[in-house]
Amino acid sequence: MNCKEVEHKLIFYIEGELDDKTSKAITLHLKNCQECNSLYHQLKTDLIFLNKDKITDNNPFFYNKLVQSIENENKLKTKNKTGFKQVYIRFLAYAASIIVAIVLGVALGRDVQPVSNIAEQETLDNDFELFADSYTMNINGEDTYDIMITDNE
Amino acid sequence: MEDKELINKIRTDKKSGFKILVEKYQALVINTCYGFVHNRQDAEDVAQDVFIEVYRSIDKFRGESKLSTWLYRISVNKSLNHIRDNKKNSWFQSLDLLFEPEQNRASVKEPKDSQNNMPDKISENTETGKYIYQAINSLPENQKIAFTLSKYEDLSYKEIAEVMEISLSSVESLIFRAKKNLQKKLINFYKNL
Repeated sequence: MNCKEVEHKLIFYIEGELDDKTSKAITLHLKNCQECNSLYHQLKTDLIFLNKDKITDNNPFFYNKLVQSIENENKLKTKNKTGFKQVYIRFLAYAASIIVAIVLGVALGRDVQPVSNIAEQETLDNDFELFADSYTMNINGEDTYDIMITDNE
Repeated sequence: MEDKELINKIRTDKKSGFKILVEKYQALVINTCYGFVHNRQDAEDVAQDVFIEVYRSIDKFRGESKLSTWLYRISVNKSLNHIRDNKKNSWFQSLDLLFEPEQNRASVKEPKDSQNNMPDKISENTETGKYIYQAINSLPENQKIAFTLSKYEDLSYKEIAEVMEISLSSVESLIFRAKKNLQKKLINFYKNL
């Protein structure tokens, strides 16, 4: 077995997951190869470390801290809910006042002629006067002509 | 107390039932989180989030899977989210460092990254653990979950399959590939020492 093959199987060798034949071949190689032997020891040290690297003891303050966190979260939620309610109420108040203003405006303005209509009426009256003035030749006076229609026959 | 009794207890008296649940499963949850974040303080913080989630949603637990399986699932998800958030934070912090005037840099906090925040025993124990943590962190997510549950919680392949909701052969394949990748990464580290 060469170094490359050993490198590819080293972790399984350490964890005892290889068949006897392969395992023996690697043991033999490690005895004769200093470089592979060094890699083997480094990898083994790290894997042993990993196997021992566990938290098994309980933290006596863990539960109290947890209860505190849950209470804080609940308080925050209630606060947010109240805040949302306040914003919602304020929005409703604004909307209601706008609607009241519109309704009042419509009710008060119903009997009042709009200013623009008065102006329009005045313009129309002026136009009629001008129109009438243009036909002043028909007024009995200096240059008036009577048109007589007679039957020649 | 059996899990079924415990669930019934929580349904009748939530506070005292929840206390029993936390005492019973505290070590399991903290150790699972520790397998991902590699720092006791971070692991306890994530475990707090796990139990808050459990407290909120225990009424929805229908008992189709084991209580421990459910706890493992929440622990894995919360731990992975924690790692993702830390990665984002450290990315933003490095951006801050880039744009921060040089005189203000001293006040910038160290990124709260699990790789930079090793437990005391590691710093005492020279470099042992540093490389293997880095190698585990760099594994693809599913390989990392399967390998961590196997190494830290000594779960059987069947139990891992239940937690991850995948087949037994998928778990075998994931752990095999995780070991291969770890070996490759670690041997590269050792050769460059």
